[in-house]
Amino acid sequence: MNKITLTARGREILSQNTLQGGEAYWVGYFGLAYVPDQGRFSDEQTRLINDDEHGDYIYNLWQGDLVNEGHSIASDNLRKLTMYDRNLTSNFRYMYDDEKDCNRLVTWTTKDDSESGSSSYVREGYHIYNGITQGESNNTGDTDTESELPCPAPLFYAGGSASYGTAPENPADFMNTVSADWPKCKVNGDDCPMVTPDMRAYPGTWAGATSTGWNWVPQNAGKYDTLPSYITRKTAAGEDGAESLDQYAKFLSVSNFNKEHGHVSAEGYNVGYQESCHNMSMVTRLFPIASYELTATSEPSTNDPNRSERGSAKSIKYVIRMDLKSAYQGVRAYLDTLTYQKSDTEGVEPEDIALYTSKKPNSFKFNRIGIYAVPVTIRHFYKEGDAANRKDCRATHYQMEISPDAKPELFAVMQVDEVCMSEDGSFGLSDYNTTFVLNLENVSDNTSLCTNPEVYYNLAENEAITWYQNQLIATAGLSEAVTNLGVNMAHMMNNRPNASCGECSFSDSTSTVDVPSYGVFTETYDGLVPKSSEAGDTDKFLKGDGTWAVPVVSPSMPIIIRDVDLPLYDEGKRYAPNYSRARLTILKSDGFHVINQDGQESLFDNVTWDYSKRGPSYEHFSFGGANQLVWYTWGALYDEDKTPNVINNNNRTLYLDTTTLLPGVVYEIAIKICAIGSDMINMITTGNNGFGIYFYNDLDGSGNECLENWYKWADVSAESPVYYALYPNFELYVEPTDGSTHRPLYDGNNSPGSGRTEPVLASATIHFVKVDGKVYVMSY
Amino acid sequence: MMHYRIVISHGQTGYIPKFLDVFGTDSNILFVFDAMTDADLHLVQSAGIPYVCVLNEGNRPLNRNTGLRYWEQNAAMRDDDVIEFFDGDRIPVKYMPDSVPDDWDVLLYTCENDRRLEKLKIGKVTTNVLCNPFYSCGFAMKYGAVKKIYGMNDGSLFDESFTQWGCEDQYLGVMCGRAGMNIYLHDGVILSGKVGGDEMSHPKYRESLQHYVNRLLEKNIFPHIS
Repeated sequence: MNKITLTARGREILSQNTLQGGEAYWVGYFGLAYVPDQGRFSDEQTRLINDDEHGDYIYNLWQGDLVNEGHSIASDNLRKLTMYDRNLTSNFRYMYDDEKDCNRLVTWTTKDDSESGSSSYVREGYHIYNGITQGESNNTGDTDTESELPCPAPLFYAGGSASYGTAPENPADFMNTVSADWPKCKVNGDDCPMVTPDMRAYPGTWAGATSTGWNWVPQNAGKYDTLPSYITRKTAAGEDGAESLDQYAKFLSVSNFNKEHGHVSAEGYNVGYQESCHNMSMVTRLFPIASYELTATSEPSTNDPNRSERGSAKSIKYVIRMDLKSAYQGVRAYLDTLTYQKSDTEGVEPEDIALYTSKKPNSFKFNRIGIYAVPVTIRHFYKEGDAANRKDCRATHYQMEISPDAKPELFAVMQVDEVCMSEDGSFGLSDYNTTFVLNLENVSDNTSLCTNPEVYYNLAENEAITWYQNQLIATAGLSEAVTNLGVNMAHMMNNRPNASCGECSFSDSTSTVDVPSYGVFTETYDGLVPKSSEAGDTDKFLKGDGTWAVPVVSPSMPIIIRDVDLPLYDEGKRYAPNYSRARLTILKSDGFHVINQDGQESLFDNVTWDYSKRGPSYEHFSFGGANQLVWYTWGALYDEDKTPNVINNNNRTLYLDTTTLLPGVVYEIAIKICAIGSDMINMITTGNNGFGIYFYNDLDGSGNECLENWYKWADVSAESPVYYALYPNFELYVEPTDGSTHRPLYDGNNSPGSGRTEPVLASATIHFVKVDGKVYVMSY
Repeated sequence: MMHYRIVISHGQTGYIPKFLDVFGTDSNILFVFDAMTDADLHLVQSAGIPYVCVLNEGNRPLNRNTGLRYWEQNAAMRDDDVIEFFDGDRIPVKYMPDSVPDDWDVLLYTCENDRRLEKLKIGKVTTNVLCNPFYSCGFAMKYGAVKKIYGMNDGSLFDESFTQWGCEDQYLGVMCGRAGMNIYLHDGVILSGKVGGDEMSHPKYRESLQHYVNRLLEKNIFPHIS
């Protein structure tokens, strides 16, 4: 009898999530694994990837045709490619290896027909898929990622295998439940299939076979966040939906996840983004649960038509459906015996060398199904036409989003009675359908659940669990490739308050390009509209009563201030303001916050305001409850020909009122000099003039500070030097080279004119703490 | 006087053979792995050297303490025996540890690019200041001095509550300074890499500093300036 059991983490998730609160999870993925019985369990069989000798042992490869002709940008071929339900059996297969007594993932290479001059797809020879390796560094120091096969392309799963516009196949349809205006994705004028490859810039993936096999070299990593030009981006109404689609791509993209989590070098430790091995073999291994329903649910807890109904569920029925039927008529049958042709002597007919004798030509083999949960965040958005009604909040809608950084967690494990594998026929497993019912009642009572020894029967428990989980973890990178925003996962959904008037202080997290990013405000709450510089006092915000005020940050709140971005353009023209500017964002663990004048806290998204200093006669900066400040200041501006010209910035000093510093709190100030000209370099590096931090009250001059990054400015004529200010010794600055007097340095891959860039030319960070009335500088 | 060496490795597989080149396999060298790979295992097993695996949590204080406990359980260490700590990517490019005064308790090894040397001279240094030169990427400590710290730090050399990058060594430095130990910045051993300047690349470094200050205040050992 098939069994299903919650994992320990699954119990935690359930116990921590009630209608009254807790983090919301979506249970929507499953992964496959095969756990051998005790007699076959060995260390050797635990090898999964990057094993030259054995290859992958169990590897859920749902990539579709990556070797055959299907990997093409032609729209008709596109649908034969990378769709998990097609062509899968064409080129990848788990073959049973008598010698090793295990399955190995193999695929076949193409054959160049020298006589006809064309390539055919006779499967001679094979590749053991060994994952991805890190190649040698090129002359720029970047390291390419190499694979003998094209790297698995990340998938966008949009709910079904039909193209956009087709009736959804199951309740998990993504496109039609999130928004009717969700942009279509088109390739060469055709709608993309609901399951599509990640069509952002992976040009190397369809470079085709070379004489030495497949070679995949990723291009500029920065392109991972952009869509290629051949994709037209339109909303259903035919409007430009570029930004929406970009957002869609970002939070659905496995490579975005990979960018943050896949920084693994060949030696296995984390390295920088540019140097990292983007191990795409770690992604795209989880699959969408076809459908599920809650049984014995309570009444929905809300009648709000804009929200998903929710109730408490007593059980969840999962339907797992894997359709592996190949719709591609060109698929050839496999032989039971694989050979490759070997010839060591020119002119001698190649000899067929037997490689494997396939007892069971398995495409898949599994006896465990892992159910995964991933945390989701409830977001708020406005539908088109709602913008005018923002003040009264009536048009606020909810949706749930999966965080790009959220990793699925193993929620439950299903044990399948029989080991599931492909049929003995030539096309392997055609489909697999099953239903499991997970009892959610009494989840805290361990005795009501299958215990691990029952599930794993004869296996040594720890080994089996670890081995199994390692398999699933190795396949668990696809947190954002599959999503479902409209499913009633009642018991696990955070019960957020309704967005009625007076409570709505949420900004628009899904605004389109034509909607400014600011939130509503009331008479009580501060809004998010920073006062423009023309109006003066740019550190103030507009309140609902029409007055301007400075947001008050509660000192008791652990708040981080973080910069978001810096507007470098004004009506398409790059400019630099003639005053120093710090752009601040209050960020807490659950989002952006602000405290109003009455001490009430509100949650905002992307709340920012500007802090400006215009000279020593103005008030001194106070951290309030914050402890970090990223201070952008300016030294130059760029001409339209991208030549930086020096401007006179007379406000380069940040004045701190140390009397307001909280004792024992470590403060951090990062100074970033933007667009500075080369003739100012000397000034800032000598520290004799220029940018600095002036401590208004006192500065410990005992020599206790470590000031490798900073210089002190003092009046040394006095018997005891009086220390006035600290000046950064910028380590990052522009050096004129090769006869060029100006060579800007940029963060990332941005360049002038490419968009919103932050050409930070010099930066330094200082830490300090106030203890017993003294300020101790702590930068090392 | 015996030397016991502890190398903490976090996937720094490529450096293992280099350490063995410097010290040899019969040198009381122990590897503590917190992200062990098959290659790590192969290298230490084939070399026949001891190793310890810990959870992959990146807790360097815990990893170092684990290595120390291994030697305490597997060797009869005396007070004048020397414990040497190395980070997994710090290879000694020069190794003459004995060229020091007899009264040393702690030797802070220098690095090829060492910003401490811009302010400090080779020789005795004080670490009982907020910004002290105690860096743990490579240092030696007499076992008798280690036991003194045990008495000040709840039986551990490193404070394992420092779970973020950095500052656990600064904290140990303050304790060593307050214990009146003789601490030398020592160029008899020079390690590869640099010291100083990389803390800014750690986004949560402020949090580490905050924890450092908190612990100093909690333990009432904040190095005040009169």
